[in-house]
Amino acid sequence: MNRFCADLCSGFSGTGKSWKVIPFGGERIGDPLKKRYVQFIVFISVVLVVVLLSGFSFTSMWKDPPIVRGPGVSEVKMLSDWLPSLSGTKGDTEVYIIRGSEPGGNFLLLGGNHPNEPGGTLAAVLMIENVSSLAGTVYIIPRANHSAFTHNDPMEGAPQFFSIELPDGSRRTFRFGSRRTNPVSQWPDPTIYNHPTGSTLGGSEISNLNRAFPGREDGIITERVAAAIMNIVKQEKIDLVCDLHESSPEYPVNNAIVFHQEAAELAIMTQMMLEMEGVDIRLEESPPSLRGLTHREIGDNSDAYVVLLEVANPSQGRLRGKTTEELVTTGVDKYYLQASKDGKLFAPYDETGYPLELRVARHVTTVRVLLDSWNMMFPDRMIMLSDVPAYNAILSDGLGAFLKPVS
Amino acid sequence: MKKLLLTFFVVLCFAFVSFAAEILLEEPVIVTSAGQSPGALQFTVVAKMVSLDYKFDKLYKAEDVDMSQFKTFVIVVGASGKGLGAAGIDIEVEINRVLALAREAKDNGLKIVICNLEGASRRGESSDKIVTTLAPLASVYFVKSDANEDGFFTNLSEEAGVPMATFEMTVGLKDVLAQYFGK
Ligand SMILES: [Zn+2]
Repeated sequence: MNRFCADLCSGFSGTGKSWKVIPFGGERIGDPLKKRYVQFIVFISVVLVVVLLSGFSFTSMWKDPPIVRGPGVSEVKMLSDWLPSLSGTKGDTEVYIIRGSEPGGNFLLLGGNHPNEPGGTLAAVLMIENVSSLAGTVYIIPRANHSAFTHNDPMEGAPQFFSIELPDGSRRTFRFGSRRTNPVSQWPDPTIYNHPTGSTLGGSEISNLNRAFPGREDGIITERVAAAIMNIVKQEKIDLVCDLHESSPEYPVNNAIVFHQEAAELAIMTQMMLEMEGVDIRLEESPPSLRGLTHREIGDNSDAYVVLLEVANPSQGRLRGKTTEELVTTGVDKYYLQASKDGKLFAPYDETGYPLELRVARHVTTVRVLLDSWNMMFPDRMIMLSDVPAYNAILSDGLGAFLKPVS
Repeated sequence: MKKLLLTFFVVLCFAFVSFAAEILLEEPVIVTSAGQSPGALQFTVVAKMVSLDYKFDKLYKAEDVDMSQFKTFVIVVGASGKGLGAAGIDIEVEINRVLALAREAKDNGLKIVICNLEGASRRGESSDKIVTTLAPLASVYFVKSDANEDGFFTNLSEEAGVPMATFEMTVGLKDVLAQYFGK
């Protein structure tokens, strides 16, 4: 205990040998006590300032950066339209609906299941702001775990925001959120998470949306979000679900399509067609024992075909150095470069880093090719989109070229 | 839609393939995975494109299969390493399962194809161990080129004096199958 604290505490406790217990506000206030008063007030003031500043910083992430309705968006609903108990909570979030001019299949695209994986969120935003549907209906949830966008992970030193420059010189700001639901929405975590499927998971996974499926309608917020998404899948008769993620470059499941066994052929067709376009992607089958993930639970609990996409994100990995906004957008990091030279990574990595536009281009292109494969396999339930940003155009013109200015 | 299909098949036709069909393989074919990666499923998708007569189960056991009904045994190698697929797979058990199948196949006069369809992404300690264990029984190798950048498969095929066909892209396997099975 330092002297300052000892002084303060002794004022209350009076346990120190050479101190007398003198109540605050007593008449016989001598000089040493006056000094302690001043120290106490200064200390409390400093604490208050720190608490206030942290509070402002913490709540600065509570406001949603705007997403612009693209020309194809016919309607914006809220997740609570499929589960009213989510209304007014941090778990409620927009569902953008793009209806086709012709009937067809129904496609659900999830971004921001993990808000510290911005490539997935940005790919969903790019789709909302650019594409139209010629056949079939597309539901896009760009901030699937909305609550997890409202804070970021403590002790990770990650930025709260990052921005992208548009051709007109303006900037669009996005949040770098957390893998987990904000503790303001649900707290504390249990020691063991008793999953709706009957299996048990580590307690902290209770705030990870991608372990909460198929969810519980009367559960905690994360489970309710999962249940609401399940309700969309069932009530809207979703045929195909694609969940967009990013992963650490040192993680083996990287630049990959993870597929539910029912979607195996679809995923394989997609991989082969992507390969012909020069985009290498690996395939991973969803293991039946891994519970709570979109590709497992939505696949098992509905008629939908489900895939999850991963792309390497150095700003999320454990080997990274200083976690800046620049690292989020460029992916340039000297420690990852060294790890790559040592053969420790599962994604190609060099001095050019792993920029956000490359990560988003991979996701958007994989979604386009996934739909091409879908249309080849299920011509009676076509999902045909127009104006999907092209891979090379995203790389050469940048993400800003496909984001609309916010007035 | 028609345009899309056409493009797909035109590109298929031009997929770069380099090999010489030094042996001919016969149908019916039995296919299994060694390592449980999705490579075996990829094989079946391509096999359908050339209407190959095959039976597939990623977990066939020697005691459940009548090898005498088949002429060719395809083993698609790919271990999932530390990824998602690692959940619940004991690589020693997996090797013993496939080895028992391969011995049964050899005893019944089947030709054995060792196949890497997923390229460099399935070249790791476990996958390599599976391949080297099965190598003495191989009749031919079908290998995606980027899995052979260090000459691993070339060495095995030369040592054993068995042919190897390589292809640049997964769909290139279609031409390999067409050649070797006379499709
Ligand atoms: Zn994720």
